[in-house]
Formats: sequence, structure tokens, C-alpha cells
Amino acid sequence: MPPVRRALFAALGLFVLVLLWQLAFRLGGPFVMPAPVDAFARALELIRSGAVWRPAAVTTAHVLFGFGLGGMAGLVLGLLSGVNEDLGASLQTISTVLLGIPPIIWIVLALLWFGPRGMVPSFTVAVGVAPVVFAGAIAGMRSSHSEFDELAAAFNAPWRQRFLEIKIPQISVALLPALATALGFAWKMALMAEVLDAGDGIGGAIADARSHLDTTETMAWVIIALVLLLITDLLLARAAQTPTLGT
Amino acid sequence: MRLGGKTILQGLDLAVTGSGLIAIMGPTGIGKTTLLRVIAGLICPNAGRRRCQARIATIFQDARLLPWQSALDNAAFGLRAGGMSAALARQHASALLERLGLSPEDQVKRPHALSGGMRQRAAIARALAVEPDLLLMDEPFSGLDINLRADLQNLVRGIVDQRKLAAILVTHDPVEAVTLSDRVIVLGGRPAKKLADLPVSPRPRDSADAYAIAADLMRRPEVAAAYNRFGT
Repeated sequence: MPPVRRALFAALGLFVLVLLWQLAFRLGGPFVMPAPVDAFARALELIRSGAVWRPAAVTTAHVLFGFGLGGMAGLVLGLLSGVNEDLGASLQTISTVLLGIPPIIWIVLALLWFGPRGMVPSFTVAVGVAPVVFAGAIAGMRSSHSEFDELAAAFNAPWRQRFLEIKIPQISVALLPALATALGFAWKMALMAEVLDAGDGIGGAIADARSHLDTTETMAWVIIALVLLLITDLLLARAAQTPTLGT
Repeated sequence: MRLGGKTILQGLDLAVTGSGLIAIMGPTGIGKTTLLRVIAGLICPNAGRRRCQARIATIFQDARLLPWQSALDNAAFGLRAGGMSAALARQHASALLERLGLSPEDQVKRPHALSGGMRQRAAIARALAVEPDLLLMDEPFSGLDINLRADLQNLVRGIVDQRKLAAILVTHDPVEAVTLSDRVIVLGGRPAKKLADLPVSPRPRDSADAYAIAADLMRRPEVAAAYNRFGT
């Protein structure tokens, strides 16, 4: 699809959503949903006044920290599992169970373990991200295309060259989509945790606004969170433009 | 040679000395690639021996370039494998690629941005860069259209002559075999055996000649039997 056409229809989708939002406001009144116009205006005001920066920074920190922790753990374990099949079998079961636990349960547990205003959001993100990255890393290790191994053998390539020029890129091709998925996950988990934790960050601001029954402010923060999510998504989509193996 | 529980090749004796191009011909699926793999040292025969003192380079049927590297880096792959520094390897590869018809602009592109012909040229450069004594080619022209095929065929034959290489070309196309080689070996039967081992002499002067010689070859009873689906 040509990019202009795609952008147009993408914008149309967003427009329809806003339209539905306006309808909800008309039918339900301001306590159900604020007018889209008001929410957007409030969001802009938050940005202009500078009130947006600290919560945004805090949430971003939670996301990055948790993503880093969980991603590392998932990556290392995934690579090891690719090498050792027994380990892989055990870890895969564990990973499936972890993935099956709804995020809300993690948040509740984390609140019990760590108490409020602390590690809860980062921990939640880490636990959500790790199984996804783990799966990607295993897939990468297993995607051994023997044709390239044959190429390396045909040219007597040394171990180091095989590892750096064939193995690592092969793993990355499977890994990058997993990382993109995990990042989207991470944002949602961080926000969820912050709302329940009622502390810092954008989620905290949402919880705050909600406690004041200020639906306009709530939706304004939601808009800001979505914009941030879109930006990180786009950045990662750029980075993940890996060539396909089909060529 | 047994693979997957079946004997693919049996009783094959092959000696390659000096320079020149040998074509190994036979119907598809007969075991030509397997034979080439044995020659390349990629698999070991179950019986018999492989003795090889030459430096070998291979050109695969699918160019088999690494998708995440540029054409240039791909062409330099063999040189790096031999221990050459990446920078020096790039220099050598670049010069070779240019002689094979890949401009510097194209050299920095990744395989997916190149045409099939360009990819195969990069694969040829990769093989030639290591200055092999023996060049192994597994149906390297089969995926290309006729004009391109003719171009690359001439290119490779020219290089074999120029550098006085020994080369083995696996092909299912009798005309290609006759056009390019000095000696044709025909495989056939299950398990595959050497059915014919003939010099191509005199060499064809033009493509009409090549077709005529190929037709003669195909009419020989042992060869006809190999290509005959209902025969042995």
C-alpha cells in the first residue's frame, strides 16, 4: 500500500474512534466521558504548563528499567535454552505459566511484596517482558538455517566468523519482533501498575485525576500515554526493519 | 553414498586433474548435488575415499548470500574466512565485483535490493576471490532467464580459461553441459552410477552446434535410458 494512502486510512481509523468518543459524550454526559475536544485541550495545557514532564519521565523510567531487567533475563535464558535442550524444556513450561498469569495478579502480588511507591511498576514490566523476549530468543536460536551453515563449511569459515556473521544476525531477526511486542506490553503493564499503585508517573496522575472524578483530566493523561506509546512503537518499528530471510 | 537410508551413489570413481571444466549431468534428483557435496568435503562417503589437495570454492544454486550483509561484504566472506582483514578483503572483493559487472553503488546494497543476476554475480565473486584451484558449481544458472544465463555462462567459462582453473559444473541441462565443458559425465539409475564419461571434442562453435552435440549425447542409449522416466 502506498504510504500516503496508508497514512490517510490510518488517520481515518483514529477519526472514527474520536467520533465514537464524541457520541459517548453526547449520550452519557460529562461524567461518563468528557468531550474529546476538552480532553485534547487539557492534554495540550498539561504539555504547555510543563506538568507532563515529570510523570512522563517516571513512567518512561519504569518502562525502560523493567524492560531492561526482564529483557536481559529473557534473552540470557532464551539463548541458554537454545543451547541446552533440557534447560529449554523446563524453562518453556515456566514461561508459559508466567505468560498465563494476568498482569493484575502480578501487580497485586508486587504491592504485597514491595509495598507502594517502589518497585511495583518496574517489577510488573519485567515479569511481563521476560517470557516474551525468552520466546523470541529461543525462536532465534532454533532458526538455524542449515544453508548458511553449509556456506560457512564450504568456505572453511572459522568459529568466530560463523558466530558473528551468521548466528547473531539470525537470532536478531527472530528477536526484534519479540522485542517490539514486549515494548508495547511494557507500556500497558507500567500504566496499569502505576494506576493501582497510585503513586508516580502517568498512571499515578490518572489515578489522581480519577479520585477527583475529573474525567477530563483522566482522558487527557490517557491521550498523553497513547502518544508516548505510539512514538516508542514507531521508533522500534524503524529499528526492526530487518531484511527477511526469504531473499 | 547413503543418505536417509537409501543408497544414492554407487561405484563412482572420479579423477579431476589439471584445468578445464567437467560437467556432471543427470536427471533431477539423481544425486548430483550429493556428489558435489562429497567433493566439497561437506559430507563423507560411506564407502570409498575422497582425496583432495586443491583449494575449493563453491557456487550454490541459490546465490546464498547473507541477507543482512551488503553484496560487497558477502563477496568478501571467503577472504575473511581465510584470515584476511575485513578492510583488505573489501578492497579485493570490490575490484572483483566491478570486473564482474557490479557497480560500486550496487555493491553496497543488500541482496534483497539486487536482481537475481546481480546476486549470482556476487556469489561468483565470493567464490573466485579466494583464488581456488577447483571451482564447484551446483546449477548456478538454473534460476535465471535465458539472456542472463548466457551472459554468466560465458563469464564463468572465460574465467576458468583465463585463470586455468579446474571446475565442476552440476547441471541437468545437456546443452549447458556441452556448451561449457570439456568433459561430460552422465549419472543415472537408482542408485546413481556413472553412465558415460565423454570428452566434448571438438568444442561447439556456436549455440546451434551445441544443440546438435547435446542431441547426439542424449541419443546415446545409456544417456537416453537415464533420462527416460520409465527406464532404469
